Amino acid sequence: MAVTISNKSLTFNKAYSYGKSLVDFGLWFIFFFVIYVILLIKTVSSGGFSNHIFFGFYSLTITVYIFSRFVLSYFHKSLPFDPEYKPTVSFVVPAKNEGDNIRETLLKFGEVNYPKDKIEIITINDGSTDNTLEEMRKAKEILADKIENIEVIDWEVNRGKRHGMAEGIYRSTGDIVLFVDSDSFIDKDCVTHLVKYFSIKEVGAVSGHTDVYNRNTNLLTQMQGVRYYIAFQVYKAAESVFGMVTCCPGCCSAYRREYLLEFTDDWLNQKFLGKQCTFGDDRSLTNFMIKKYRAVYSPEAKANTVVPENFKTYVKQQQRWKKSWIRETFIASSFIWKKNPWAAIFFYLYVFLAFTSPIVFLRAVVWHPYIENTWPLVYLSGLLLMLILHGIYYRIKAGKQAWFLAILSFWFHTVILMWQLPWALMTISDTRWGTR
Amino acid sequence: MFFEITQQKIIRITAVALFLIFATVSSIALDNRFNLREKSSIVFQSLKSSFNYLPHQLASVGAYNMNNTGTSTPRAKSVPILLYHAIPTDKNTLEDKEEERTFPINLLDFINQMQTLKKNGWHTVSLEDLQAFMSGDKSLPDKSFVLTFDDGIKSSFYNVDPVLKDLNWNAVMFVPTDSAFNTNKNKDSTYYLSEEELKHMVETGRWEIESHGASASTWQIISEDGGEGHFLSNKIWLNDKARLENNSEYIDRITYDLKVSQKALETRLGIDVNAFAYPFSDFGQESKNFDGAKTIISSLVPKIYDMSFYQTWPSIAEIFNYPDPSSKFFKLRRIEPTPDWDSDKLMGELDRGKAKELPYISDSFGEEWSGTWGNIERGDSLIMEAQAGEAGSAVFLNGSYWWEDYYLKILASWNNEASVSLTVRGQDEDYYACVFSKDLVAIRERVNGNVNTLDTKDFDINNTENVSLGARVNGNSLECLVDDVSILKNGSFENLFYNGSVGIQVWEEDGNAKLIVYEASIQ
Repeated sequence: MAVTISNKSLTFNKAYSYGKSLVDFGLWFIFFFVIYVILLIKTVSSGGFSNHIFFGFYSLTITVYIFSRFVLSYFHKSLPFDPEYKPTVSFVVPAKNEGDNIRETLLKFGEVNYPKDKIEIITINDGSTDNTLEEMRKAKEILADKIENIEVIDWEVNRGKRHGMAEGIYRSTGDIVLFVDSDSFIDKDCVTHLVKYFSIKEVGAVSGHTDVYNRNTNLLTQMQGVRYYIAFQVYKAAESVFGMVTCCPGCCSAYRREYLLEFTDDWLNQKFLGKQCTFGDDRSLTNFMIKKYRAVYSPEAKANTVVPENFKTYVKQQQRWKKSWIRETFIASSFIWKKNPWAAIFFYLYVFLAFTSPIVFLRAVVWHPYIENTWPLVYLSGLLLMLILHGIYYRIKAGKQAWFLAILSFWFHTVILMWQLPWALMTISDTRWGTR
Repeated sequence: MFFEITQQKIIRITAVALFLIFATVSSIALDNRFNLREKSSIVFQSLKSSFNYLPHQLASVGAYNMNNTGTSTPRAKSVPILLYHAIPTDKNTLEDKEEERTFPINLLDFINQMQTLKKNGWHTVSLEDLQAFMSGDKSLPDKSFVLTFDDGIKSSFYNVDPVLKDLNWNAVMFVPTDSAFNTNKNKDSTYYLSEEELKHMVETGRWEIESHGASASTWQIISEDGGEGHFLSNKIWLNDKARLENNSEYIDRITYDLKVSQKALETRLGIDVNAFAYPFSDFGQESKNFDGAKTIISSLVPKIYDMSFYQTWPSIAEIFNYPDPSSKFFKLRRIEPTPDWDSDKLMGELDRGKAKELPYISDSFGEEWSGTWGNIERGDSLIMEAQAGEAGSAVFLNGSYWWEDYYLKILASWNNEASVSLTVRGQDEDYYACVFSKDLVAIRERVNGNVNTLDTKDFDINNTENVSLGARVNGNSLECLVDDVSILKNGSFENLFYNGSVGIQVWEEDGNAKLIVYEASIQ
């Protein structure tokens, strides 16, 4: 009897895994089929290139750029885990009015698979008006039997995230400083996988992989779920092969403290267009780091973060990111060519694409229909296919997830999202947060 | 650098890349070889227009009288040919292009016109049938017509084809071959039909493709100061030689154009091409710089084609085509329905143009008495007056073209200074006429535009109230009568034509011409 059952379940398992790999095969087939269709469309519409060098160049560049991301990320190196290498780490968590999440964020540190005596936590209450401070203290109490070194710093007046982070750098004693946003939650193995890259001397910063915690709340968060996943797995991984990750995001990134101290003062007092920089602190910090050292991406170091659930907040968040992107891209442009020619070429190409895409969009969606009375079929289908390509990749890699509607809504949102860059450019001197 | 380059990764990515490149390149090669993209686009667009037409098709189910194929159907005396250009779906096109010479007709108006024809028993015939009819080899059922489109425009295939399919009709497309064939593959015209589309049209069996010339639809520089004129009817200004073409250069050029367009269609589409439509309906009569154009074109076209097509307007000329067994070449009239032709107007135009039977008696006068000149008032009597600043007025009876021997008689009053002409056997601008003046009766002919007086006789018409005037044509003689009394007879026409329309004209030098016809009869 027992034998029969195990045989049955064996057959079932076999069939299941066979079915799963069949589905995977089918998905990969669709993935490459979409690439094939994109190539066909691009080749067929390339007749117009000779008519319009600018738009032809754009079309060619964006295709090459996106495909290069997938290819480069495929060649991204995963470091093996080195059991001998265990530097001390300091978690730094600045928070303002995060009473809802802060306790859980901190408690996750107690669950990590890392020697607890090598862990230090510094959390800064940056002038919160809610129960953030109490939550921090409660977390400290709960964690007390696991982690000894927990410091809760309380600022009655808000000074800003950058000051909080800097305070964390100054006060910490660990070899590695690990920034975790107050609304992000790290996995048990996150620390190990972040830290392992620091065994390479020139690495100054490591970005973990962050997924969207509230992914299944609504279409907007599903859309962000796809965006986050792809931004890390494909785009950050592609930057990482050159050690040139341009942003190790605040939600979960590790920095080598020794290197940080070289420029923390400069970073803290960073000014742009005569104004104190108030956001994009993570991108800025990474920028200071890669000027001299390297920044990489560790896909195995996983964390989750809470993203905006309504459109208005989302747009405001994106707006801040775009502004800091402009600022830091401007700065990075001045030195990136010295670092690695390929990384630089792709970097400048991306800058070109980001600034010209609104023009191409205008031509396709306004000029063609209204002036020349033709439908921008090539443009819209090309855009949709590219997004679908990302969506299928997400579906294959991240498992059974709602992706199609997310991609469709992304397609519609392109209209809005694309204009954020020019808008950010115009309002770049406005340094208010908008959401706080 | 954080690359991890394993042999497996390299092999995989190379294999995928090579496969994708191979797939893309071979797809494009297949498309270039078999025009797959265009073929599928044709299928797609045809489906789209069929779908658009579907509501009209469904709405007209059962509306047509299908029992008109019985043996008792009368035979056609004459056949009209309808001419269209673009049939756009877009409603605004008409207003936008109103200034243009060729009317695009909105698809809805076109469908309405076609369904009106169908409901009233009309049906299309092919060019082959038309040719057989014209040469007297074949009779056609009454209410046969030929549907033609000029310029090879996409909309007049895609929008019209579902209508043809529904009504079980066929049509003729006159294609300017330069527009159809000389387009760069990557710059396919969005306006003119392509070679692939023309091939598809032939395959449907509903379309005959014929020639509209190669470059013949273009305007050319025809004088030193840069003035422009039609390709066929003018000599071109040769800039390098600082002169106009000479006769042989002119003949070579238009011969080449007539031949090359025929040849291109025949070889590319694998069809016979024997019909030619004059671009701008200009067969030389509109020449600006060469009087001989008309004669040369008239002698060249019959050497290359069996049929040619020009345009007339319902109010000023016969609009139907009558058989001519004596001829091997046919120059055929077409009329172009305009967007404002609703059902009544279209049927009215075709009715007044239809062949009339003898004897024909008018005691009231309708549109069939078509005016070509002056102010015409129709009703119980026909009142003809010269317009201000002009000297006369003229009408003809539409549908009398096929009549041969007859006696035209009118009962009329006129101002006694005026001359009244009864014209018989009118063909286009040529005719024979009895001219009744105050003290003279004359027989005149107008042949190839030249008016000759053949015979005169002094005769005083004292009274110009309620007088009966007559013209009797029989074989090669014409007799002029007043109050049924023969005044003058001549039986020696040189350039005799044996059939043609009847007409009435009045003329007075000082512009006071006025004629009231109470009754007209032709027996």
